[in-house]
Amino acid sequence: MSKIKLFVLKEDISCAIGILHDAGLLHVEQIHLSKIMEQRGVLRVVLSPEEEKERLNYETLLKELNELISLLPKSLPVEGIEFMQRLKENSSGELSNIVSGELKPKFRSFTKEIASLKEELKSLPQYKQVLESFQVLKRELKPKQDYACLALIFDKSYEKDMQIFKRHMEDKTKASLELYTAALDSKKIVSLLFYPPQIFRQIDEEIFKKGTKKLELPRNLLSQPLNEAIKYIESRLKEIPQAVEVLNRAIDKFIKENLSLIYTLKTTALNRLEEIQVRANFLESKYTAVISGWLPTKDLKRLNQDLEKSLGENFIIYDRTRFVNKRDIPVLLENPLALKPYELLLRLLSPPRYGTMDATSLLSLFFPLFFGLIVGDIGYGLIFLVTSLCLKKSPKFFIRSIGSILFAVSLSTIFFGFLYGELLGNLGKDYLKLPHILFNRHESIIPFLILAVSVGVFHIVLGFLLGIIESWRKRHKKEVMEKISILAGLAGLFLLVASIMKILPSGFLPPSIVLLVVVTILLIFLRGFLGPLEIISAVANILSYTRIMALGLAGVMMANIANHIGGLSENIFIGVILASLLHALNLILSVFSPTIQSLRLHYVEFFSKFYEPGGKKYNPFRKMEVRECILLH
Amino acid sequence: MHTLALAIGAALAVGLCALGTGYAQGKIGSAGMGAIAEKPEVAGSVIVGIAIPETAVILGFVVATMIILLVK
Repeated sequence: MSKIKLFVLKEDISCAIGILHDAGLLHVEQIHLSKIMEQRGVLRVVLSPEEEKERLNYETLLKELNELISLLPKSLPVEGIEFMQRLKENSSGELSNIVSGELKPKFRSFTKEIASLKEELKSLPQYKQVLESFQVLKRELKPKQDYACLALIFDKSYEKDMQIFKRHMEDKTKASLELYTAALDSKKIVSLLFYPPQIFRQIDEEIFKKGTKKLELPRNLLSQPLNEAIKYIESRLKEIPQAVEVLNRAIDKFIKENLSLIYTLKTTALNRLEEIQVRANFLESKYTAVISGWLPTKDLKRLNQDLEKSLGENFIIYDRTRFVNKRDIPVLLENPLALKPYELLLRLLSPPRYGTMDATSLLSLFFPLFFGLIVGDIGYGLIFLVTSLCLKKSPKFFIRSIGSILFAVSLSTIFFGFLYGELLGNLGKDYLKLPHILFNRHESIIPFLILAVSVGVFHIVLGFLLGIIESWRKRHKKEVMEKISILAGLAGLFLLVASIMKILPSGFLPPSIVLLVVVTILLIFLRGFLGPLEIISAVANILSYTRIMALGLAGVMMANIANHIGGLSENIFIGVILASLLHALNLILSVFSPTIQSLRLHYVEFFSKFYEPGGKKYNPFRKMEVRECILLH
Repeated sequence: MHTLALAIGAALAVGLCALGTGYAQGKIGSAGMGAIAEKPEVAGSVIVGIAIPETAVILGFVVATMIILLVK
């Protein structure tokens, strides 16, 4: 990485920002403004009133576009959507006019119409039920002209109260009301109350106090005979779904025709807003502006050429790399395409410091291994494999990455499934006579424990070795000595325990004691009196890998229990369903628990030996593409 | 009697560890959910943090398993 300071003329700052944005190489950093600089007339760049107005315009535009986008369906076709070049030079005002003048009103009219039709569809069956109640009585309703109607539905026992209510309202409002009552069903009564529209509020208040369910009947239903009104409702009930379908198709067509426009507007607004906001990181004097940032050293020449094309000789790039603190250098992880998905798993930690080891390749090797060791079932592995192939087809990078990781994990699970001889638990052994090439996990608990601890020993020792290499590269001799001492301490402890347990000849006992004493003294010298505790800490880290055995055993027991419960049922179909449900539960647990525990083993036990987090991610100032904008949706 | 003692020991080994783990994860989980509500990006770290106390119950399970093997 190179750190540069770019000096341009003040009048060229917008042009320079545009070139930097197009190039997408510079990780812009805010320049610290010291008192000396201020005394010499250097200030932080402040937005002019016009720029401030533009910023507000773009923020408002983005808000409106986000509102519009929130109404779009969640899954959008990514193919065929292109950036509309004709809008490239439009001002913020012109872009806002397109949204507020063309897009929003049209879309809102569609959605409003659909909402209104759906509301009508919801109300019509209730109207029909009310009118049918009166049709049974063979009574025609003849309300006064211009009277509005409320249908009140209440319990049969309150029938007489309605007459009292009518008289009370007539007294209160001095208006003439009409009341028609019919049975809605065996328990409920419906009363149609006709009233002059101007007293609606008073009636509504009284009804609200009584807590009665009300329904406002449209005037057009009551102005015709009951049976015609009912026929009209029935025909509307058939027409409305078709009308909604037509409107939905119209919306789909509108969206498809305008998707490129909507996302071009959003991408343009986001990019322009970023170009305005980035100015806050710059400094300016009377004639020049200064931009500071980082970029990969190999791209410095290209940036120089891009700036030369537009600015000629009116710029200077100072390379400030030799004056920087290595801790401040942003980090760009460059991994092969096959390993890129594993960078997602590392996102839970901060990036490694510049110049230190990138653990992505190690994670890509050991994470599937641990997962396979824990789950180790051919059946579950095949399900993961099929799922991963589906996920890998997604247009979203995140989902494709999960698919790639799941693919590797499924292969490891199938491989260990063969070694353990497990297919959906003990079904492989019982029906397909699968051999236990390694061991039967259900019965061989101690061998599985030894395997888990051995994996732990290998992983932790590898971690220490990598830590020694890292410390050697940084010329930290003390750290190198510490790590070698801890490794020697582990070796001594192993020899001691093995000699006592007679796994190794007793001749190893004296050298192991001597080694431990030497290592203890060395660690006290290097790290103080608590230094020897590091050996115990390393032993605890190794023992932490016994979770591989614990989780694996729990998983295989769950699978066997699922098969056992399925087998208890006399009906084969019920048995299969029961077993499938339990296997499904075990499958879900088999995804989460091994993932989290495998990651935990990496983050806590393995990475603590060599990984140095605390790096800053390289985040270049670059233009967003339309496709990226859609995938964010 | 010896078998009974071993069985009780195994049950206590995993049961008490599970109680401690459950208590710890309950506290971490509720605090974690509050953090996620304010800052959804920390969800991954919170999930890993909730998993950290599982070491206790896993080691308890291992000890219980080894005790059960003694019974056999």
